[in-house]
Amino acid sequence: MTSRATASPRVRGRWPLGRRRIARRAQLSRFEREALGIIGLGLLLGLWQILASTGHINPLIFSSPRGIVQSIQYLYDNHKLFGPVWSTTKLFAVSVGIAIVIGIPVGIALGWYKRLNAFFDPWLSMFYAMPRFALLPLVIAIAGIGFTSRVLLVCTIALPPILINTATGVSTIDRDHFRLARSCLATNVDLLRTVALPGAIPTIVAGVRQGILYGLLGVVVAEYFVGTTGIGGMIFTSGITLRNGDALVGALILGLAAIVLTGGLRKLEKRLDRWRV
Amino acid sequence: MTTTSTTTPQTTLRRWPRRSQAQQRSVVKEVQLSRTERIVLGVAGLLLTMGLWQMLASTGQIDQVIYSSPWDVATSGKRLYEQGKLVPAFRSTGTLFLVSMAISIGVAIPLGMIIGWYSRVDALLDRFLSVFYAMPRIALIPLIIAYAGLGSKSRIIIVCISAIPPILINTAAGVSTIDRDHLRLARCYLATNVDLLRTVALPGAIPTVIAGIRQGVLFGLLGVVAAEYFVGTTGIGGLIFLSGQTLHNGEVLVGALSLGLAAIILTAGLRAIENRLDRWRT
Repeated sequence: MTSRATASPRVRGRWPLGRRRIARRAQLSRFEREALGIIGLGLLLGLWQILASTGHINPLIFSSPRGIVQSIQYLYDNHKLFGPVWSTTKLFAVSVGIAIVIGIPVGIALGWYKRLNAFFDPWLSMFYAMPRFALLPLVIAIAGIGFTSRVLLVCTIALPPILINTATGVSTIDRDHFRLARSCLATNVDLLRTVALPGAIPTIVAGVRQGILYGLLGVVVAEYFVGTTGIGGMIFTSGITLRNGDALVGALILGLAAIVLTGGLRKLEKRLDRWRV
Repeated sequence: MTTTSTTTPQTTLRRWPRRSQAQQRSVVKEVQLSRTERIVLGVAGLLLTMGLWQMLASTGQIDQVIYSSPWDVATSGKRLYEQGKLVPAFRSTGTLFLVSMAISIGVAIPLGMIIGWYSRVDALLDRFLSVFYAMPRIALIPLIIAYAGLGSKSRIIIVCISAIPPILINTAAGVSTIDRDHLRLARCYLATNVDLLRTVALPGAIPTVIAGIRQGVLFGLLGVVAAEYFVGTTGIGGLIFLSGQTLHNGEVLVGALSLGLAAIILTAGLRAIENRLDRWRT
């Protein structure tokens, strides 16, 4: 590192090329990253507050950090905070739970049996690529307006990424591993248990992560449209009554939940994927 | 390494099976389908499921008003076309999608490059961006409506907000995970920041950037539907919403399936572009 740093000024004296600013990329330590992150957050909140207080942006529309704190206080005092959070958590947990319990086994089957996969491929890729809440009216027609219908909608939205990723992970098995297992007279079940599934963990976890993000989207849509309940409903009604601070509180709760969930998933992946080292 | 791999079969099988036992075990077989086999099976799957669906609907096993049927979808599509509702809806949705995606890509790729390259900028914005990326951004719709009203401006903002974060985060990740050896080599050639970005970081980031755009396209389509549901029921999303309210589920499926087809075509197009741009690798 030091030798390189001394080398460039010497070059500068001798060559016309020396005037060039050679590419350099800062390597930040963990501490620096954390510190900069907190500074960034502080600056952003400060700027927002200043713009709102001086009236450069309309606090009625964009709210402000203080407005958000006041909204939290207001929601908490009026017992409007924990009810929606609980209802949303329940909806999310049930639906994503169902999506995982169905998506992973079906995905394994589809990844394993190539003919089955080819058979269902057109529908699946269509269903995966389609913006699935276009099916909202259908879901309402099937299940009415209630908890079942919300769960069905969130499952519809969260299931395909989990399923497709699991199938991809299981089917892209390492050829050499496969041959080794064959030489050891492995049966289908052996191969699946000892080679395909452990190898597919990163892909499956990536699928579950996508499923969680889509699931949160689905939760919001379900709560907007299918009986305004939970955090989504709170955001919707706050938006209509132009209490945008309350709406932002809801959005922030969902954002934080998403971060906590994906962070937890990363930990789980590290744990499950430890065999690789 | 070699010793472990030779010992594992013995430990897992306990003792080496005799020939007769080995024949009894159904050892895994490799199934490799050819391209034609895949296509034939795919078409067969499509036809069989549609046939089953039609049969169940015609015999009244499932309610045709709710689940529709292939025939109903086809006639609904024809009716919508003849009423002159389908083409304008497509045009309006297409315009919304294209304009918003162009803005999203135009904003997200340069920003993503800056964030991926300058690690301090990345560290400053990281918290904010990761919340924004992970959050279901549709939750911000009420705010957007309050800001921009009920018009095409609102719709474009909603789609952009859905599509920008995945493109941005993927571009940043692609640029920042530049190969260390390539970076050193480029430094030895006295490459400047711009050189390095142009000749090393960007070509190396192509698969990640395209993956980001693919995600952006899918989220963008979601955003299009959400925008058209909420902000003055227009386009295909509006068509779906209104048909759903009058329980014309065949029309709902026409809309949904055409969006699905559009998504498949777009992602396939992106794959073709990626193959072309990423040819330098071989």
